[in-house]
Amino acid sequence: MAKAINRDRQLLKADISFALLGIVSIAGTFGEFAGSAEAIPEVAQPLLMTGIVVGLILILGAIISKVASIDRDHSEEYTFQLLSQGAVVGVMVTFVMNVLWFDIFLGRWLGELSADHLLTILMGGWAFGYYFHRIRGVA
Amino acid sequence: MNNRLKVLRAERDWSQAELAVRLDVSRQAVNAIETGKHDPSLPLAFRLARLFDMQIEEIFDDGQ
Repeated sequence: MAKAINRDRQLLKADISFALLGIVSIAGTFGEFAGSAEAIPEVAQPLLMTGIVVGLILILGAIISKVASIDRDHSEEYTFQLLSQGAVVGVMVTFVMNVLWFDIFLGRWLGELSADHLLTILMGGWAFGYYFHRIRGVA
Repeated sequence: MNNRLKVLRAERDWSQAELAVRLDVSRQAVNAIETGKHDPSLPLAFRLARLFDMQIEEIFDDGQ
């Protein structure tokens, strides 16, 4: 017989995880700014690198889509909607921050962002999106 | 979307937690549906309709 899933506990775990994610994001962002900027090595073979990146996007995208569908099957829909809406916010925040820093040149005055910064921004955006929808609702 | 979930639940003297267990969702999900913060999927709407022995339209009103 399948073990009953405690849905309240499942949602509580998500609440705690995203609170921790937000804290790690803030701490990580500060740590990255406090540390030295990383040097970006030049790409020797642009075509080969493009091929590798596209290939990785396809392979990882397929694997993660499969894993997400398993996750969706095992989560209740409300929890999964909170997770996915939060993820959309996180991705969009990261995208816009990237544009602001590199295309609108905020980095000139505030210091450049590293790849690790973008990761902490993604985590922070996801945590914010999760709690925003948790409070406002997903209807 | 408006719904009569809170009224139907109260008529049966069920708590949000009891209804959540019957639907296999979290208590917070029941609360979110009752307060209009979450629109249930079609499968969950059918589970609700079966549980209350009603049509989906008798529980939910999309205002159309």
